[in-house]
Formats: sequence, structure tokens, C-alpha cells
Amino acid sequence: MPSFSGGRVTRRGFLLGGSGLAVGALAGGCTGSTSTGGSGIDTFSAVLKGSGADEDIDPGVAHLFIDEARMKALYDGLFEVDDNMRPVPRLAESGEPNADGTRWRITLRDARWHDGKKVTSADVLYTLSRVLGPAGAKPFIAATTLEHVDLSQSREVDERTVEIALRRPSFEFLTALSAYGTKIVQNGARDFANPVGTGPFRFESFRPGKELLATAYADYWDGAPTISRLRILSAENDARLTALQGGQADFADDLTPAAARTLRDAEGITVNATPNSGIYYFAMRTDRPPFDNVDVRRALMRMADREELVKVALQGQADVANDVFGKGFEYYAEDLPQHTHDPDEARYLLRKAGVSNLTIDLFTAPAATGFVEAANLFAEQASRSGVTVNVRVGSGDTYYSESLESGQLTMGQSGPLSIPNHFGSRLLTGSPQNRTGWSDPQFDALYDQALATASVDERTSLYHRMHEILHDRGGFLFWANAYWNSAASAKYRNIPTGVPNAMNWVRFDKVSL
Amino acid sequence: MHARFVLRRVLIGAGQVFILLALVFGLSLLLPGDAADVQASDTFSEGQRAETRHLLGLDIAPLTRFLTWLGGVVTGDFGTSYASAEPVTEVIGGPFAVTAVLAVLTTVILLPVAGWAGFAAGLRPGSVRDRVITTVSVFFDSIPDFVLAVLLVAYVAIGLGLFPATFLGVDLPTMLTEPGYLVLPLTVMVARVAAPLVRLVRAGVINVLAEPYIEQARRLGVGRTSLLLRHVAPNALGPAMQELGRTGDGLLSGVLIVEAVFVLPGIATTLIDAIGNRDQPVILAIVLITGVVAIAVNTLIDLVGQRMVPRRVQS
Repeated sequence: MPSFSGGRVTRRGFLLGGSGLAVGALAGGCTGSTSTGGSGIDTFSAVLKGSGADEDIDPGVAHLFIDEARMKALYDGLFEVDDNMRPVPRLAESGEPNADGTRWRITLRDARWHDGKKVTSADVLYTLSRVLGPAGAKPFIAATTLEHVDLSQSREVDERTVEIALRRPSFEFLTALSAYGTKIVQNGARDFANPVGTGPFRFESFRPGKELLATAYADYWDGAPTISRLRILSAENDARLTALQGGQADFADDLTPAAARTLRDAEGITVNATPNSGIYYFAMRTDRPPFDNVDVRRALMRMADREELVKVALQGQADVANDVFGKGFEYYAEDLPQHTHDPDEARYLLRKAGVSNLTIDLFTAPAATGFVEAANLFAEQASRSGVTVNVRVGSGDTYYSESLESGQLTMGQSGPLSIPNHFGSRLLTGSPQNRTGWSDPQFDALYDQALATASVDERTSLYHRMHEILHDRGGFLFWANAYWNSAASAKYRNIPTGVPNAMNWVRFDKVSL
Repeated sequence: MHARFVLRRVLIGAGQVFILLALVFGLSLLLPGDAADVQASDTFSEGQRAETRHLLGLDIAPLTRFLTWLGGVVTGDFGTSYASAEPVTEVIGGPFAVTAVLAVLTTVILLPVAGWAGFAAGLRPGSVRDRVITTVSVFFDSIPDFVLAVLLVAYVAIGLGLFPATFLGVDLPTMLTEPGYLVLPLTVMVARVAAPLVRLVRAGVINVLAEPYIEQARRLGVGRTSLLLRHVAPNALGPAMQELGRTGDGLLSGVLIVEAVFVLPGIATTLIDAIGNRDQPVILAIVLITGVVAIAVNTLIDLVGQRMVPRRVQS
């Protein structure tokens, strides 16, 4: 599941306070240009949020947003997802299930590796055996996502057809094949520091935390890129803004609301705000007091003033969410009534729960834009219903690991992810990332039933029932669907503006003048 | 006496470095979470998180890890980075070179600039020249260096387009062959450390000039140049040398600001990243090297200071 939570704390950004703001406010827009010649683009520089030595180029273990941008340039997955989280065939031409969804027949495109070899079924089987096999220096990301793949029963049908067997039925398997860590590597490949891929760009050099250089691959199956040379640069928040303003970069990803506002008035720069890109939530531990009481959870859902949280903590750069995940994605329950701020109803629900003088610990950290602000504002909103919320601020570096098991009430921001993957990874008994401690046999059964259902309509109605349960009494309080701000020099066309994790996000092979 | 003095300083220095390393390691353990927590993808199961911890060797007792690392250092092995799985020397080699270039160039520019300005001001206290120099140095002393850096980026780099705004994607050879890159960072670095030096040199010059032996030398007909170089300079620069030692210590924090604003891939940002990644082998190696350098520089400056003003004899 391509769900990296985005927004790791910006360390240098933290040191500098709002210095980027100062730059933006002082300097008018003025953009230089990377050298361009003829109708093609000589060099295109994209700058993304960096992470120092933690950055990786091995498709099996890379898990950061910037890693994924490199993967999109150098490799291909069998499938990717579109902005609605529906699978789109890439290196695969098609994927067809058998009647009960336990075997998938994948047909490959007529594509070639950067070294000229043909892409074959053996490459697919090797990739699967690698990511499901023993870990090297780091565990393989897709080992959880693809744990239901039964390698011993999977087989090569012919050179370009492969049959993948599953241990249990899944009609959502193609989405799993689009997840992080599933890019196809060449049969027998071991040296991932000098990657040979099938992607639109050939590897030239890589320095972690600094730069990837790659050159156009003329024989790319989806057409040769217009860009001759691609640079993917790593930088913190303020530096991405500065680099774009100073003309050192042509594209800057993941801009803060303040940076986006600054650039909106700049000449020669186009800012894109992609909705439904960062899903903000409070997570209540449903297996611990006081949130093991259904009515306390319901009360909390009425305490949040979502409009105010969006306006203050996210500077208005988001839409209000409705306690269910995945607005804009396939299977979203659009028809559920919007939860609104209702302190009196919250008081009533707390009385009904038999709780008085409720005090809650809210564990937060500057792990993404607006977390600490939202936590403090929520504490104030809760006090309107007579509830005391103590905000405890931790470290942004390790927040997601620390908050996974600890506390009563925590926070988070999720990147776009298909709704079935969201259920599977966060809301089943034994899910690896079960932040709300949610365990409901009825819910688990509905999920299993949905995955085993071939009809899309029937699946949709099963997922809808799961959404209803969560909307009524789940542990997640989703309060915002934030925009994803990126910006590029206005002279380019086809700048990628997809939601993070989707196909048309930080994919530069279609960029043109 | 000097050999004994040097030996003593080396032994004290080694002790200081050891205490520093132990302290930093202890403090790094107090940070919430560890490298495995930082690296955990949010699809990881509990088993994968435990596996990450095991692969990194974080399931080994901290004291054992620390002593093993120290043992390795003695044989020249600085260990392996948790974050990148590369040898630590590879992670820190490039950044150290960048920071060293910055520090050396800063010093090379700083000494003549601060020496000249301090002398120029101190020789004629109260003159227009003195007042201009003093005002400028007070200005640079009172403006925080990150404000100066951000102003330079906003107006000079982005506004006027005179110099590159950041070092994004620039490697060391490019940095040295295209001097435009280094102008703004060096301006900030020099401005940061020059101001206190200028004022100390100025004060030193004024004090020394008021001494009776200067008057005496003048009466004996010692020439102006000789007077300044042989009699004024050594005595006036004593306090400034001490300040220069402190400058060396402060350079790292100055470098940090400059590195952050200009996206210079130096050692300070590497250290901040390493702390964020809970990458203890890298943290310790950087602390070890900067600690040794700081102590060496201070010892050197003490020795030079002693030669210049021999009356402060070490017991």
C-alpha cells in the first residue's frame, strides 16, 4: 500500500523557523531558467523533500516520497493507481482473475530493459521472490502488502504471461501490485546501486540526500520523454521554495501552505493545489478507556470543529473530512451525513456514557504541517463540552512509530491510499498499522467477503457498510483532506499534478514545453 | 617545558573527547525512538519493525554498541551508518570536505579583514574612519546570521540574480571552480565572526598605544612600521587570539545556519540529519572529529598566544 505518511518533520526547516516566509515576502517572483534547446528540454530539475542518508534507490526497500519519484523515473510497476486509486496497467498489459479471485493472469507489455533485454515473466517472478524472501540490509516494503501471494503455486505461462496464485481470494490484488516496493526488477539483479530498469529514464548517478541524475530512455514503451536529462534534487521546505524562485529548479514538490501562497503571486510560476492528498485524523484507541466506550467516541466526533481546524491549522488549504477515509477515491461513501461541531450533543453523549470530568491525553508532534496547532485548537474546542485535553508534544522524527502503540488519542496524516488497503492495513484485527486498536468481527467478515466478491457493485455496497460502521462508532476522527501544493515554472506543460502515490504524481516523462 | 606542555594538553584533550563522546552517546539514547523507528515504513508489521531493529544491531545493549564502536575507531573503522548502510567515512567524507573549505576560506578572509579594520579603527580612535568601522561591525554583530543569510538570498540571489540562491545538486569541484557559489555563504560566515574580533583588536591597539613603553619607543626614534609590527601588534592581538579560539568553536553553529539557508551539503546538516535519523555511528564520528579539531585549534592558539605574550606562563 502506497501510504507513506508524507510530511516527515523538516529538520532544517525547524531550525530556521519561518525564514522561507521571509524570503517569499521580500522577493518578488523572478525565475531564471534551466537551459533549453530546440523543442526538447535539455535538463529538467525537480526538487522534492529530502531525507539525507535515509534515502534509497533500491526499489524493494525505498519508502519515502522522494524515493518513489526516483522509482517512477527508473522503473515501472505492473500497475499504478490513478487519482481515484483505481489500478491502471503499466508494465502489465492486463490482469485477469479466475472465477474466485485466487489466481491472476498478468500479461506483460512488449517492453525492454535499459540494457536492451526483453521484459519477461521471469522478471516478475524474480521480483516477487525477492521482496517476499529474506531481507538484506533492510526489510522489504512489500512483504506485508503481498504476503497473500503464494509463490510456490505461481508460474510462468509463457514469455509474457505470468499467473500469480493467492492464498486467499482477492479481487483487489491489482492495487496491491501498485504499492511501494513492487517495481519490477530484472531477473537475477543484485546490484541496485547501478539500476537497470524499464522506466522512462536511464540511471546516471545517485547521491543520497542530494541528487539523482538520469537520461531519457529513447526506447521507453510509453514513448521517449521530451526531457533529455532529469535531475531529482533533495531539499527541505524553505530550500525548495528558494530553488524554484532562484531558477535553480523547474519543479518543486510538497510546498507548505505559506510557500504556496507566496508563489501564487509570483510571475512565471504556476502553483498546483491537488485536493484529497493528505488525510488528517485524530486516532482514538478503541481498546482502551475512555474510548472503549462507543458514546465517548461519538462525543469526540461532535467536539471537533472541522472548519475551524482547517482554517487555523492548515491555513484553509484543505477540505473538511467526515470521519471516513478516502474522499474522492473509489468506494468512498459520499452519502453519509456530515459530522458537525455540536458541543451540546457531545455533552449529552458523555452523560449517556456515564462519564463526567473527562480528561484526555493527546499525544502529538510536529510531524506534519499543522499537527501541534490542530492539537491545541482541538483542546480548546473540547473544553466547550467540558472535556479537558492535555496536549503532549513528542519528537517529529519518530512520531509515527511511537504513536502506533501508545497513548489514548494520537494524530496522523495519511497519504492517498485505496480504501480497501486502508481497511486492510489499519482496521482489521491484527492489521500491521492498527492505530485505533479497532477489532470488530463483523467488520473483519465484511472485509473478507468484499475481497472475495467479483462484482464491483456488490463490493461497493459491502465497503459502504464498513464505512457506515466507522462513521457511526469508529476510532478515527478524520477532520481534513488537505491539498498537495506543488509549483513549476510556467513555461512547461503536462507538469504532474496527481495526488501523491498516484500515477500522475512526480512522473516527469510527459513534461513538455 | 614545551614538550611537557604539549603532552599534557594531548592527554587532557583525549580525556575531553572521551567524555564528550560518552555524553553525546548517552544523550542520543534519551531521544525518543531509535533508527528502526525512523526507518519504519508505515506499512510495516510489528515483525518487520523488530527485523529492522535486529538488522541494524539495535537489539544489542547500548554500552556494548558504544564500546564496540570505540574499539573500531582505534583501528580506523568508524562503523556503518544505520540510515544508509554505508561506511560512516563515506557518509561524512564529502560533507567534511565542504565544511573544511568553508571554514578555511572564512579564516583566510577573516584574519586580514578583522586585523586591518581593528588596527585602522584603533590607531585613530574617534576619527570618522573609526566610527564607520565600529558602526559597520556593530551592525553585523547585532543582525542574527540567519536573518542576514535570508536577506542576502532574497535580495541579492533571487531579487538581483547576482549569485546562485542555493547549492542544490552542486558538488565540491563545481563549488570551487564557480566562485559565485561561495560569495554569499562566505559573506555571512565572515560577518558573523569578524565583528567581535574587530572590536577586540581595536581595543587592544588603543590600550597598547597608551602604554608608556610605546611612548618611550617613539622617543627613541623607532619607526612607525616597526613600532606597529614589533611592539603594538603582538600585544594588541593577544586577546584577539583568545577570541579566535572561541571563533573556532562557534564556527560550527555558524556553518549550520549557512548550510541550512544555502542548502550546502556540509557537516552540520549531516549531523542534524543523523540526529533526526538516530544514526549514532554517524553522530559519534562527527562529534569525535569536530571535538578533536576544536581541541587542537584551541591548543594551537594557546601556544601561539603564549609566544606572543610570554608573561602568561603555564605552571
